[in-house]
Amino acid sequence: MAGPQNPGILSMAQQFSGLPMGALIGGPLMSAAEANSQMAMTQLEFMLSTCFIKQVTPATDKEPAVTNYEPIMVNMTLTSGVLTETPAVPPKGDNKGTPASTSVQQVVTNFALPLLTIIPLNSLAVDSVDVDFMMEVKSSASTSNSTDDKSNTSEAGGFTGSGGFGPFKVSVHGSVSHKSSSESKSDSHYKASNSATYNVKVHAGQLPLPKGVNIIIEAYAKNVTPIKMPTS
Amino acid sequence: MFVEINCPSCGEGSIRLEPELLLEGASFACDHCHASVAVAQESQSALKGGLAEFHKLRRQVSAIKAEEACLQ
Repeated sequence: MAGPQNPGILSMAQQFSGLPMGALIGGPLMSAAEANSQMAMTQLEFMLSTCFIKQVTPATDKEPAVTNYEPIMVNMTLTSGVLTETPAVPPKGDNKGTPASTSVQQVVTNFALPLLTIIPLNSLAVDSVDVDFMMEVKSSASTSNSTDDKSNTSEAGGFTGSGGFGPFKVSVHGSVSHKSSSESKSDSHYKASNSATYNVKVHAGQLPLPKGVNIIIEAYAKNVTPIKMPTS
Repeated sequence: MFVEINCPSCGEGSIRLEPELLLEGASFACDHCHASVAVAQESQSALKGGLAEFHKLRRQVSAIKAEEACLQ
C-alpha cells in the first residue's frame, strides 16, 4: 500500500490489475469452446447424413414440405442358450423308458440396431484443456538520506611583555591555543520490497455429447428388443 | 472405441460392442446371460459405410483439435 511508511510501492492487487488475466485464462478456454462448437456441428452433420435416411415429402397446396429422418438400421443376430427339458418317458412293455433330461439349445434371434448406437460418437470431443501458468511480480522501493557535518575550530594567541628597571630586565612570554573538532554523521536508509507469486491452474474436462443426442441414443439402446424376422 | 447396449436377451446385463471387430465377424457376449450378438451378413455393408464416414469425421475432428492446440 502506498503511504508514508513505505513510499513508492504499490499493492499486489494494483500490480496484478494491470495484467490481462481475462485474456491469459479465457483465451485458451474460448478457443477450446469454439473448437467444441465446431465439432458439435460436424457431428450433427455426420449423424444426419450417415446415420439417417432423409425423406422429403414435397409441399402440396394444403401442406408444406415435410422432412423426415429415418434411422439406418443394422441387423444383428443374437445367439443365446435356452434350457430345454425333455420329460421322462416311463417304461412300458419292452421299452425301458428314458429319464428326464435338460439340454441347452442355441437359439438365434434377429434384431435391428440403429447405426447411430453402434458408432462411438462420444469419443470425439476436446479431451481436456489445461491452462497452467505462474506469474511472479516483484517490486521494491528504497530511499536514502545521508548528512555529513564536520566542523573544526582552532584559536591561538600569545603575548610578549618585557620591562626593565636598572640592571634588571624582565621578560614574560605567554601563549594560549584552543582546538576543537566535532563530527556528526547521519545515515538513514529505507528499503521495501514486495513480491507475490500467482500460480493459475484452469482445467476444463471433456464435454459430453449434447444432451439431445444422448437421449436419442439411450432411447434406441433401451428399446432394443428381439423381434421375429419374417421368414424369407 | 466401444459402445455399450443393453442386452436384448435378459435385459439385465450389457454388451460392449467394438464396431471394427463386428465388421470382421466377431461376436460379443452379455456380461450377465452370456448371449452373444454379431452383425448379420446383410448389414455388413451398412456398418462398413457408416464406419468409413466415421473415420472421415475423426480426421476432421483431429484437424480441429490440432488447430485448437496451436491456438493455446
